[in-house]
Amino acid sequence: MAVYEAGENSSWRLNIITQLRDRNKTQTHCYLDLISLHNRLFDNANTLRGENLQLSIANEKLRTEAASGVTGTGNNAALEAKLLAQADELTMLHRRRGEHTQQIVDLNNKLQEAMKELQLKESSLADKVDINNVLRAELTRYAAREKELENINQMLKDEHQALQLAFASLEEKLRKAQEENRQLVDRLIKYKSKDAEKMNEENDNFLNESFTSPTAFLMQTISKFGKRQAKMQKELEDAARDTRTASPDRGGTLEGTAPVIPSSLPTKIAMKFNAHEGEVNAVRWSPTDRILATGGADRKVKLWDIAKGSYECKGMLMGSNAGVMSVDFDSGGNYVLGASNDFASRVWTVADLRLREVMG
Amino acid sequence: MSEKEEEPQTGEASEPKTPDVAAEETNPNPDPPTTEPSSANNETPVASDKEKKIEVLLKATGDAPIMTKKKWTVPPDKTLGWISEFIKKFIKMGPEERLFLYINQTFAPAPDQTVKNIYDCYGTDGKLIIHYCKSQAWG
Amino acid sequence: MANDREVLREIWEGKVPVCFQLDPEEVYDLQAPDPFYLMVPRLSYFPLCTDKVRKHFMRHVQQEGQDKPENEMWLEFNGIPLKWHIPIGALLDLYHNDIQLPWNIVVHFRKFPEDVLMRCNNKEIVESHFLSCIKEADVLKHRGQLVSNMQKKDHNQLWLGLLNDKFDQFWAVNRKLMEATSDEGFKYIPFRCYISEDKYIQRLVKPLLEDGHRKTLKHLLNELFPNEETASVRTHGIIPSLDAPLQWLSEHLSYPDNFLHLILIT
Repeated sequence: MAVYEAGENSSWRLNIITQLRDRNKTQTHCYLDLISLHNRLFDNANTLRGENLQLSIANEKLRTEAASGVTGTGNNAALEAKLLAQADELTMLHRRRGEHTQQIVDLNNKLQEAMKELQLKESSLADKVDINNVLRAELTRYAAREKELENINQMLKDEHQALQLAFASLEEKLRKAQEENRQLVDRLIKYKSKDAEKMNEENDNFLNESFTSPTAFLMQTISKFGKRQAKMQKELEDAARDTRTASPDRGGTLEGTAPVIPSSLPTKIAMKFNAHEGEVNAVRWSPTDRILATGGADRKVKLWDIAKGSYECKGMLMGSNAGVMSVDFDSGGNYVLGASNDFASRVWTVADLRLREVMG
Repeated sequence: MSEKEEEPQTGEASEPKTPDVAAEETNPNPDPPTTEPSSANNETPVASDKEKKIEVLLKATGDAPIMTKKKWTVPPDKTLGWISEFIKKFIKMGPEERLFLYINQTFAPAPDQTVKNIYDCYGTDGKLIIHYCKSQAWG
Repeated sequence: MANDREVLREIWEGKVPVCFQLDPEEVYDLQAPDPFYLMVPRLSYFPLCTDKVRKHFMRHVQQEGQDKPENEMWLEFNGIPLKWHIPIGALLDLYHNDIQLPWNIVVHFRKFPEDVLMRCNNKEIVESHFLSCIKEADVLKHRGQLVSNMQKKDHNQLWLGLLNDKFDQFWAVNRKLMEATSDEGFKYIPFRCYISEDKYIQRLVKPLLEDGHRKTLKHLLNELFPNEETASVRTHGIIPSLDAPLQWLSEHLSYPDNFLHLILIT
């Protein structure tokens, strides 16, 4: 490596170095300052030229603005126009926004109304459903009632039929009784007429016996006969009338067909007792038993057993809300009917004293 | 391949000797191989051998298309630029595309470098291998 | 190892004044623009220095075609288009006879000479060319092993050091490239010898003779031009002594692309 070390005193090296130094001196150093100054001046001139250009442009602009005499420069006018346009746009947009909000409000309201309607409809629907249910329940109830009523109806029809049969048989009985009655009345008339003839004969006999004054006697006998005739006719008429108006519910009590039969009015009280707390409005004998039914102002119907001088309360039939004005038994003596001032009539069974029916 | 290029013309002065001998050292001075008949002639080109062409082998690199004919002989004074244009025409590249030529897979000489100079310096086994590429392969 | 810092410094500081003028035929304004003066570094390339020039003259050129690629700026001297990929110092040496400082260069924006010049639209093209030259030099010097082992940031540092005129930044990396792998120095000396502006020679030259002595510039010239006895070369604006050893020259007088650019003096 030492071979390559450039020694300080190698001539070629010195030669080269001196040449380089000279070169640099002549070529580089002289010109360096000059050219750098030149470049600086150049740059300055350029920048100044640029500024100059800009200023002249601005100047021109100002001059043209001053010359045209508008309040705003061309630029300003344009900007103002732009500004106006923008302001217009802005107002339009605001207006639109207002409209849109208004639309929104309207739509909201409509929505609310629709909701309300919907709710109403729903509630009415619910009501209707309820009513429907109620009606259905009523329907079932009515159906049940109808069935019940049908049953009762059936029952009543059956009863009616039964009663009809009973009635028919009773009518039959009545007819027979009436027939008998007529027959008996006929017999009676026959006997009475026989009696009358006999009497006439007697009278005749009598008259014949005592004939003094024929005319007075005649007049007496005619008047007696006339009276007797009238009396006979009247009795016959009564009897005939009686047979026609005979009704079954009068029991078998035939009243006064014969004037001969000694009638008696009750004058002596057999028994006296307090049946009710207040007034006694109605009494009735049972057709079958020896039971008496009394109805009073104390709203009760009482049953009494009258046996040979003593009375015994068989039962109290409750249920009336006001005084009982009338009582009656049925033909079988099983039921008691009481009519009261509460506008209702009630039926009780005698056997168990229970209220069976309320009517009215 | 030693020629005496005293003249400034793009001369074909003497001719390189047989290419196979002188791979590396090109020593025009008295050397064992003295088969240089034209060593004395400077000005007049030897009539017998004109500029002896240089064998060039073109190798494709990267995405460049491979040429059907790879071996060419080129006059020594042609420049690399000329070779570049030649390759571009051969592989049908447009004039706006760039082609890069590399020597020794290392560097790309300037286009005005002559083939002779490059061959003198970097030729191997009697030929000069040039790699061509459409993009910069070795920077 | 390039450790002669004084020499390196002097080389690095080389700058020349240039006067750029717009081609009078291309002037579009009423008034021709002022010429633009600039100090350009010898070691750099024209496209790296001429941004301001372009900006200055753009204003005075026909405005519409400004950004079209056809209207790329190109430089011309004495009717000859200047090749941008050659370092400025090499161009100076090439035209040394005709140049008087300040160097008058004409700026053109139209009629780009396609057949002579390469297009250079941006600095990336210059960077890739620069790095390619470095790689090529390393192939010659160390079979390409040093550069391939370098990281991208080292490449970047070389480029930025050149671009921004930073001596220390550049040489921090470049000194590694200037290290010889063996006692014999580099494998081959990377150089370009310009015979004319169009033609240059590049050859494989070892730094040592067979007997182990180091070669000098004289030996190189003898190898290249065996017939010329009195050949000499100019580089960096100076004519180095023919006794200067090749290895030293390569280490210290190489341009940033690691090549010696020698211009033959006729």
